[in-house]
Formats: sequence, structure tokens, C-alpha cells
Amino acid sequence: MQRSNQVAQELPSLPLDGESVLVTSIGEDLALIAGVADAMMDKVDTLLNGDPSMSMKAETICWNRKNAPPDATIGFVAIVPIRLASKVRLRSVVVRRSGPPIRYTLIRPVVSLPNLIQIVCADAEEQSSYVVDRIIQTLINGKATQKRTDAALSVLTSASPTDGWIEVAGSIDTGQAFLQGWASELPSDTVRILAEEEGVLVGEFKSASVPRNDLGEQGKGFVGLLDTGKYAVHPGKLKKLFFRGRDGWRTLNVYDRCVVLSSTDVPAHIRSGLTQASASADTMRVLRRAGERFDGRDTVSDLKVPVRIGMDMVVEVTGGGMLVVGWMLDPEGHVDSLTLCTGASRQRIDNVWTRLPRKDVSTAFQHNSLFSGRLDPSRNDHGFLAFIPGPPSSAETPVYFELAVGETFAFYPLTPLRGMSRRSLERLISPLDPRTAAAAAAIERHIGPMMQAMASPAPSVAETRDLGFDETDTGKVLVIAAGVDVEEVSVTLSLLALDSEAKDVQIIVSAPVEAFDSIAPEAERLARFYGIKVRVIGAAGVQDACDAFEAAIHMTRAETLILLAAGVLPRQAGWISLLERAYRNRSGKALVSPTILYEDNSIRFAGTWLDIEAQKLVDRYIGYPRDVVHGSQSAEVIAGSLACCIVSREAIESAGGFSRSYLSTNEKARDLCLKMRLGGTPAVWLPDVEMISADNDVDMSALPMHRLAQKIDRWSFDRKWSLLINNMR
Amino acid sequence: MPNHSPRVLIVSHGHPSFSLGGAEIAAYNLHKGLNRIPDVESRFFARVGHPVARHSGTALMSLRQTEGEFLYHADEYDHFLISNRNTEEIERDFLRVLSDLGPDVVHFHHFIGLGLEMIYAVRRALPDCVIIITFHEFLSICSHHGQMVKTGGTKLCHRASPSDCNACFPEVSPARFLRREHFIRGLLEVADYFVSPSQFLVDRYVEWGLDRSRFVVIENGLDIAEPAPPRTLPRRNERRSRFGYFGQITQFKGVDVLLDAVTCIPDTVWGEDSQLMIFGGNLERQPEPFQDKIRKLVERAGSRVRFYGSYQNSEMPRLMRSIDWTIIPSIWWENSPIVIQESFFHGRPMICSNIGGMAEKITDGVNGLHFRVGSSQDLVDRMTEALTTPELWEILRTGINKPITYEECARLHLELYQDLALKKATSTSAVALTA
Repeated sequence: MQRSNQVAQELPSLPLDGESVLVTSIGEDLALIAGVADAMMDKVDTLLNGDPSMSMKAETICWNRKNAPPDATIGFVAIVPIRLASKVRLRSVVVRRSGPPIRYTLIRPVVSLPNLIQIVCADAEEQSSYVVDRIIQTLINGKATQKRTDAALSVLTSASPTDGWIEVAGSIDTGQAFLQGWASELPSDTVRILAEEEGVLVGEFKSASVPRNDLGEQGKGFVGLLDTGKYAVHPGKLKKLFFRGRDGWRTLNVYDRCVVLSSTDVPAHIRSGLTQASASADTMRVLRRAGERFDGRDTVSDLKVPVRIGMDMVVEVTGGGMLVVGWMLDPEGHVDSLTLCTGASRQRIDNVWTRLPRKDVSTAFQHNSLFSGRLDPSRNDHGFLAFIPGPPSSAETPVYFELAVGETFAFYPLTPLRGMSRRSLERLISPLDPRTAAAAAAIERHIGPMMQAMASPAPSVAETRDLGFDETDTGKVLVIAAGVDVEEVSVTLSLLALDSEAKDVQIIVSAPVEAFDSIAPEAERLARFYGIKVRVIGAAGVQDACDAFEAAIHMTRAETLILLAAGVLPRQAGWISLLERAYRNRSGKALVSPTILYEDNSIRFAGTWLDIEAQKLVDRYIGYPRDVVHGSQSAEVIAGSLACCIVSREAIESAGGFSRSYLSTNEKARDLCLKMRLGGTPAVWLPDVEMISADNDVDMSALPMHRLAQKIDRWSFDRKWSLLINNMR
Repeated sequence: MPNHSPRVLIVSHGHPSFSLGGAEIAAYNLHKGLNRIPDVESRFFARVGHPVARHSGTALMSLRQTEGEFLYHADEYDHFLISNRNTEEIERDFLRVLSDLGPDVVHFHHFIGLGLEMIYAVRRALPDCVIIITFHEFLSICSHHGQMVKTGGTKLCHRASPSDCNACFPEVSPARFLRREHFIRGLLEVADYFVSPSQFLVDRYVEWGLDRSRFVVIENGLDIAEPAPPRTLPRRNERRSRFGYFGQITQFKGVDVLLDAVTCIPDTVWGEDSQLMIFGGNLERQPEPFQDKIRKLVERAGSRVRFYGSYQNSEMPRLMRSIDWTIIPSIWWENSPIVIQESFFHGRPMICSNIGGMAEKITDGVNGLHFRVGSSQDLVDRMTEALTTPELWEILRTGINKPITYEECARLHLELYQDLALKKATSTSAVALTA
């Protein structure tokens, strides 16, 4: 090697006496020793300090020494595991091999690893690459520790002079890294490499050379793709690239002002680099394909074949997972696969999606020159919906569809909405017609799992105002779950004030924080005028009455809660004492709900019962005229109504409160009641007490959404509770 | 009733000096009538609002009215809930008046514009006070101006419910109508007793949910000095052929039905002597299509109809002199329109729609004639009958009972107050005994 003489002047040389060795340690449990012998095997037994009880298997890397005396014809480096009791110093190593064992004394002081490698390389001359390879391989293949990795890198660095620089780097969506720079000995086309970032990655670098006028004879430019397989390299963290040159290892260093490209900028860079590049046909093909990867543009619209795609909704739900709803028009079946790519994460969706009818898409394209005559009038299933579970992604991560069309790929960028509320999500999935067969499939495969995955944050109280409220001496509070409608809560408070019994109860009005500023002054006015005692709380994350109750539960110490949704109105005075009596009769170990009527006096709630034949829960008598329950006795039911009930705070808390993975309050209430029932707090229906409540949203256009929400909730509920319900008698 | 002279506070949604509606007049007449009874002291408390300018420091004002009359400026009013959001001023000003006057009876002759909270304020300030409410229409039941006529037409409404009301006002959910119903009824029930000038109205309120045992029917009393004599007929054997219409010209008053009928009566029946005289105004405030309809009908009717414009109540006796019959063709229920009492006071038989308060107050074939509501053809027949049956006018005139005066009305109310005070005292002492 060129440098060997230089090194020899500065460093000790390899001991040639066959009795001593240079040593360097790697961490606490490994030592590299280098020396000479008359013969050596690849694997040997060693005795540390000559002690037979400390026998270790060591790997050796050997080279032939030209013109050496017979007892020093083999140079070797042995990688020796060390397991010594503390404070015992390694002084010698006995090597057992085919011939007589050799006792080597370790030369002190130890040398550093880079020095040892340089000494070895100097001695091994043209075999140095092989020796270094083997040392690295042995270090990497052994027990993976940071020390070993560092040692392998140190070996590489010591043995690999700089060959060139990486000036531009970036990832493409396939996980491969694009590298651009210059080098002297970098082989064209494919070369095996070792990449140093936080550890060492093994990979393959395919590059093409590009002319560089600025380099003169020093080297040539390159553009290439680094493929490190399963563990993709992060261009920003890449430190060095090692490759085997003609006569040994070489290093490509990363320029300290290296440009790190965003993944969508890389394809354009590749395309531009390839204009003057030269390499084998295979390498050029690979690079060209890389230049066609996703660069942020919609390339589906440029396809010459009749394939188009459009999206209605792309939502990353809180808690992770992506919901994609849109359409793909592909009347001739050119698309082989449709893959959702989120950064490096890829999920094929055309084998899991639910197709939905989209006649509007057919209509829109029937006169399009690319599609005319190709659309089957009887086929409208161009829509699709899919929920792809997955971890949350960062806002910077590119999200797009990859369409495999024959030999090429086309891309369609997506802009996911993040942090959507449950209510917004409800609105967005509302176009799904609940009566179609597709809806059932969509719920089962996509929307249901999505709702389960959704982790809506628990409501948190942001504002509180006390208006004569004092729960010091009271065991019960009345919690009104308010929405954003001020009139609704005002009327409820006024009616409570007119009931002498309710007037003296401490009241908590729990409202979404966005309604706090309008509800609190109104509550203050009413509290003053009617002389009622009210605490108003505004909580973030309140989307329905159950959320509002949940927020309020944490804001009271009262043992007994009377829960009342703001739209539920009493039909008679004295309802509180009737509920309370039934509750006390069961020693407070029950959730007691009254009958709730619709505004037309038909039954809205008269207990949730088990239909034994169908093995499912039913809201008995819902929609019947109210007289159907006259004369009924109070009874234990499977679930009560949370819209109006009396219950112990402790029972709700120990059941874990409300589940937030349902769309409607009905299923949330059932879910909580079942949890409380398992915890020993059954639900009781009190037919004699009647409350009244109308649907707030009677817009007929909202009905399909209600049906859809019911179906989704039923799916979620059944998955959770069907086993228990099936075993009920 | 306490030993001292009973003190009554009449609360009205308007003062007749500023708003000359039937309810305002009825309230004021009661106030006057009570004060004419020895040992009874009545005060009058009426609402004013925009465009009257208010004082900054108080909702109370006087506007140079008679001593003992209070005006109360209220504008922060929720028409849907009949609710006064300015409860601060109710507490500050209305309660002050209550506490200073210490009335034994507070009688609400309507609460529109004042808000139902006023009723609660009385109960809160004076727990033993007798609270009475007189109903003048169906405002508590019906958000459509209290008319109980469906929106978008003239179809009569027979029963209000949140779903029915939502059909009239699709932008208002049944849930809101349910709240309205409960809120209004809840606050009305704070009162002790309800007075209605008609049984028809009682029935509607009872059906809506108020307790029948807390209702009484008392007619509004009139304050008219002398009845107008019958119209002097220029010639012997001349017919009683002058018809009068008194009231505003609105969609619900059925003037279009009346005009249509007049144009359809054959010339041979109508003759040269017949005349329809319309006393009333406000056509210009009606929707344009209705105005057009009336204009076309007037054109067709030609000289058979004469318009005299709006009139003051004090002019009524003089106007009555020029007519023989009064026609009340309303297509809404009406309660107890004052024109019926006035017509009867002056001895004029009436022809009316056969529904609601009209049908109750006017007995077909006894003191007037009924025609099927909204049917101009039936009205043609009734008017033809009136014009072609010579003795009919006299027969019907004989069947008229003289309506009560405001003094008689006040006495009936005083009896009610005393009765209720006694009942209240008895129940209070019963509670005290059992406590």
C-alpha cells in the first residue's frame, strides 16, 4: 500500500516473534490481537491468561506473509471474547490450533483500533481489503452492540481513504436514497456498500457517472440510488459510505454543506441528473424509474389511458389511521394496484376497499373524449371508501396514491385533514347511503374499525363560573348537559326554577367551551332572577351530552348525580323526589331513569330491554303512544337513559366513564350502563315519572346520517358486547 | 281579601292612549270600573316600547298620564318565548312598584311585550298576592300571531302541537316548539286564575294543558254612554239594507270574502238602496297580493261598497247610526271581538262566520245570522235573507241581550278577586294547620 511506509515510521510494527501480539480492546468483552504464526485456523480456542476455565472461541482473519520466515508465514488478527472477573488483567492468550498451542504475551501499552488496523493493513499489503472485510464482517455478525458497531466503523474509517464526496442526498418514496456527488474510484453501475448513519447499514449503490468539468482529473460525478433494503437510510443522518475500490476500501464522505432534498424534490433532481449520465442499461432504467416517482404532482391526470381519480375526503383520524373516500374511473382495468403511500409506509387499498355507486362520476365523464364509448352504462361502482389503520403521521409526510399502470406508475397527491372532531367526521361520511349493501361492508371493514381507532380526547374543563353554587352540604347535584343552544338551556333552567323541589338543588350546567361565553351570562341572569344556584362549566372536547356529563362529573364532589340533557323537560313537578326515592330504595346502587316521551307524547324511552328471542337489546315501546306503559311497575332494565337519570358518581367513575368511540349518545349510554351493570349497578326504569324531549335535528336530510350513525354504533357495540348479551337470559 | 280597601294592579301590554286595541281598552275599562267601586283602589301599569324614548335610569315612565298610572318601557323581548330578557329591570323597577303599591291582586291583561317573567316576579315579591291573567287570543298556544291559522294560507288550525307548529314554521324545530310550550305554560301556571271573555278560548287553553278549574268567563265591559238609535229610514217600507264592517282590513278579517259576496248578490236583490260601508284601514300594510285582491274586488263591487277609512272608538255611536247590520266575516277564530258587544249595545243584529268566539257570542237566528267561514256564497245567501225578509231585522234585534258595562264587568272581577283571596287564605291557613 502507498501509505505503508509512512505508517511504519509512526506506528509500531506487527510483532514478528511469534510470542507476542498487539492488542486493542473493543468495549468490555472483546479484544483484537494481531501477530504472526507458522499456521492458523479460522476458528480457534483460546485460554485467557492460560487459564483452562476461561476458554473462549475466537475468530481469526489470516493473511500470507510473503518472504517471511517459516514461523512467521501467517499474519493474523484474532477477535477474542473476554470474560474476566473484575480487576483481573489480561496478560496473555493461549491459542489452541491444529499444531501445538502458542502462548502470546500481550504487548503493553495497548494500541488504538485505528492504529492496529493500519499496522495490519501495512503488513497484509494487497490482502488488506480482504482482512478488513473479514474483521468488519466478524464484528457486525457478532452480538450487536454499539461498541462493536463503532469498532467496525472505526476499522472501516481507518482502512478506507476518502475517495469522494456526497453533495446532494434525499429519499424517494420507495425508501431508497438518492445520492449525488463525485468520486475517483467509485465503480460504475452496482457496488456493495456499507453506510454509516447511526449504525451501519449494508446495501447496494447503483450509480451512473456524470461529467464534471470542475474536477479535472480528480474524479467524476455520479448520481445514484442507495438501497439498504428493509432499513432505509435517512439522508440527513448519513455520515459516510464505504465501498470496495480496485485495491481496497474507500470512503465517500458527506459534504458538510450537503443539500438534503425533500422526497418530492428528488425525482426532478434525478431526471435532471440523468440527462448527461452514462451507465449500463439496467442502471439507467432503475434511475429513470426513480425519476418518475412521486414528486408532489398529480400525474394520473396526464395518463394517456382512460384512468382518472378524485377524492372527496382524506382524513387522518385522531389516534392514527387514514380514511380515504373518493372515486377511481378505470373502465378498461388499466390499474393493476392502488397503493396509499404515507411517507415510506405503503398500503395497497384496491384489495380492501369498499366500492360505492357514483353515477355522478359516470355522468361527468361520459362526454370526455378519453372515456366516451368506454363507459359501461350499467356500472357505476366508481366510488371507494377505505380505512387504513396505521400510526399517526407528521404533517410534513407526503401522502399520495400510487397507481400501478402497466410498466409505469402514476401518482395522485392527497391532503389529509387531521385532528377532525367526531362531529365533523359524521358530516363527512354522511353521503354514504345507509340503505346500500356497500354501506354495511363499509361499516364492517372501514368505518367501524376507524371509530374504534379514533381516540377522541376526554373533555377537559376550561372555564368555570359559580353563581351561588355551593355543594359543601349537599350530597346531590343536578347536571344539565348543554349544547350550543342558549335558549335550550335557558328554558330548562327556568322550568327547574319553577319547580320548588328542583329550585333548591345545586345545578351544574356543563357546556362546550365554545358556548360558554353565551351560556354563562344567561345562566347568571337566570340564577339571579329565579334564585337558583348554578355552576357553569365550559369544557373543551364536548361534542354531545355524554361528553358534557363526563366533564361535569370531575367538577363535583357530590355523591349523587341527577343527569339531565338540556332538551329534556319535566312533565310534572316532583320528578326529582320520585327518582330519588327509587334510587334510595335501592341504596343508591342503581341508575334510575324515567319514561321519556317525544313531543307528540309517544314513547321515546321506556327502558332498554333484552329481546330474548333475538338476543339483542331493544328500546321497548319506542314510538308507541304513552298510555301503553300506564300501570307498569318500575323494573330493572338492561340500560337506562343518560338523558335523564339519577346515579351515583362513584358508579360512573368506577365503570371508567363514557366510551368515546360511538357516534350517538344512545350507544354510549348503553355501553356505560352495561359496564356499570357488570360493576354491580343495574339500571332501573321508573314508568311513573315522565319527561318529554323532542329530536333537535328533524331536518329530513339528516335522517340518512342518523341511520348510518346507528349502524356504525351498532357494529361497534356488538363487537364489544355481543358475547355478554348472547349469554344473558 | 284583607280588611283594607282591596288594592288591584292592572297590568296591560299597552295603554289605550298609545295603542287602541281591544285588549288595551278592556284592561283600561276594568281599571276605571274598579276605581268606581267604593273602597277599591286600582292602579294601571302598561307597557310602552319603541318608538317611545325611554329614561336611561329606569324602565318606568309616566308620559303625562293620569295619576296612579305607570308606564314601563320594555323592548328586550323574545317574541317566540314571550319572554323578557331584561330581568334586571324587572327586578329593579317592576318589583319596586310592586313593593311600594303592595297590591292584593295583580291582574295581567296580556303580557305580550312585557314577558311572562313579570308573572314570576309578582309571585316572588308577593307570595300571597292573587295573580290573574286575562287571555285575549291564542298567543301562548300559537306562534303565528296567536291566530291559530296555518301559515301560508288561511286554513284554520284546530290544535297546536310541536309537530304541527313545525309544519307551519319549518325553520323552527319541534324541539323549540316543545320548549316554547313548556316554558310558556310553566310560567302561566304561576298565576292563580285565568279569565277569558269567551268559552271558546277557555276550551282551547284547557285542551292545551291549563286546568279548567282555574278558568272563568267574564265578558269585557263597555264604556258607552247611550245606544245609537236605529237608522232613520227615509221612506216607509224602506229596507234595513245598510251593512257595516268595522275593523282592520287584514287577511284574517275576511274582508275579501265579504267583498266577493257583495259583488255576487243579484241586482234584483241588492237594489238601489243597499250599501256596504267599510270602516277600517291598514290595507296599505298588508302583503301586496292581498292588497291587489282587495282592489280588484272593490272595482268589481263598484258603488255597492264605500270605504270610510279608520275610525276612533269614540266615533262608534255615530257610525252605528248609519248602518242596520254589522258583518264580521273573520276567517280566524276570534275571541270576543269588541265590535260584537258594540253592535249589540247599539241594537244592530250581526252576520258572522260560524266559528270560534263569533259563533259563541252571536246566536244564529236569535240575534244574528251565521255563514260558513270563508264562504262568500253562503254569505250571499245570508245577506240576501237579510235583504229579502222584511221582519228579520226586528226579530233579531229583539233577540239581542245588552252587553255588560265596564262597571258591571269590574264588579264581576271584584267578586272573583274576593273569592280567590278567600280560597287562598283558607288554603294558607290549612297549610299552616297541617305544618
